[in-house]
Amino acid sequence: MNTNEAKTLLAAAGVDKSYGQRQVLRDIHLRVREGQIVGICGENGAGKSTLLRILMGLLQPDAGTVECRAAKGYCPQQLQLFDQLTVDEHFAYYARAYGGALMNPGVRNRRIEELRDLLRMRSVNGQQVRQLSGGTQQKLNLALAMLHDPPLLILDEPYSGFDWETYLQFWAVAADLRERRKGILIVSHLVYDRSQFDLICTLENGGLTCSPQDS
Amino acid sequence: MFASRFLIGVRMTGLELLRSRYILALVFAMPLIFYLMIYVTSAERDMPMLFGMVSDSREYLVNERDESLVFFGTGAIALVAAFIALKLTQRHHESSRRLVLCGYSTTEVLLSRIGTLLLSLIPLGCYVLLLLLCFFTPGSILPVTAGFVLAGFVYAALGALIGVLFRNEIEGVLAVLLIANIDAVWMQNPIYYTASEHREIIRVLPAYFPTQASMLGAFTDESVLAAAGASLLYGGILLLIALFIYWRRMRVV
Repeated sequence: MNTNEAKTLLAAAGVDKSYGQRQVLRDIHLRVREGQIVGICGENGAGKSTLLRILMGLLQPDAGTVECRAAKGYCPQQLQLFDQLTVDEHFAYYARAYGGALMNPGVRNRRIEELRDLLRMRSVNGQQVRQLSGGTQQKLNLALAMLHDPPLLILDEPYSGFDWETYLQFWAVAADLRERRKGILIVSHLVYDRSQFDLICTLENGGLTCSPQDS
Repeated sequence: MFASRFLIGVRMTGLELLRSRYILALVFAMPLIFYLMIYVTSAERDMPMLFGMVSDSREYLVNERDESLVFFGTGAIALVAAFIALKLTQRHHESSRRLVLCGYSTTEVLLSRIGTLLLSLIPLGCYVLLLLLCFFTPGSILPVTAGFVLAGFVYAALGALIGVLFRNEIEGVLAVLLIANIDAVWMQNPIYYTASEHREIIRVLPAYFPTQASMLGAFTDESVLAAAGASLLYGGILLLIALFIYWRRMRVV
């Protein structure tokens, strides 16, 4: 796909952020377009989480702008689930949050079935989150971000805890989403498989350097 | 949309509470243990007591065991309510914030969680009253129940405030234990109040008005309306402060 023609889904320009005397982010520019998988990598403490929090609107930057031009789905690094609720109850809770077409029970149920198949989590519907394995909890964490089929996905370490089969399945899902012109931003401290990305940005000393990948 | 989101929020929060072994153990065991200990250890004798909301000069002769049963019922419900509120505001804070990121308004999340807590105070109050009735029948049942529920309300608000102020679970638990032990299960006891030289300090503590409501209902013919109104006002102010801080922490910039 010619990325110049693709619509921009997320644009950050001139983003600065400091904690006291320590400047964490310096003049960050980032753009995620339709049909693009963008990776942000960097060492622990490089500022990835700070950048992500700013992109999600959880933190105010000291300078610069962030413009999100599409509905987004967010998968946080740390599991943000309710221990005592079941997988089904999570889907119901979040469907009500997203609203829109998911308010229709038929659409909602079809979408939930689709996600269960995609992420191979068919056998855990009635189980409470605290009874699930770490990997399955992470699948649910991801599924909730994808429930409303958003044009833009922002995923923070989305495959941590996945077994190898699910990891491969994740990339198959990501490739399918790219085909459907979805934009995906993946933040990870390690980027194992560079060929999966269209653009990889490295966060180092507060600056972001991006280089296109040959897929 | 607000109503459907609020209702599903109440349902999910209710399920969270009902499935929490820690909460269930607290709700069922704490008042029961309090009552059994009091019944076994307290003395059957009449003692002169002052009830601050009637007068600081008019003494009532009250059976010590009966007084202790009513007093510790109020204390138990205050402790339980504070712990539930602490859990609801402190645990799953990030999960609740994710709901806001996904489309819920902060108000919908807040009201559904606090609403569930407040709804749970009524069965909790009735349960403690049933336990009390196994050992002692108070003069008027309704005012005593109101006192129990109001103690839960004030301490739920206090627990919520502690929950939003302390991010660390242990710090929150210690703060609840400290305040509830000093106030709800010690200083508000009319036996202590009667002997105190600085009653004005006791009168400004959170459990004062609910305890007075329970005591007046159980041992006098005095109206408990003033105590109930003051409890609602006290708890309401605490709750508003807690909600404001919670709202600020949950908002998306």
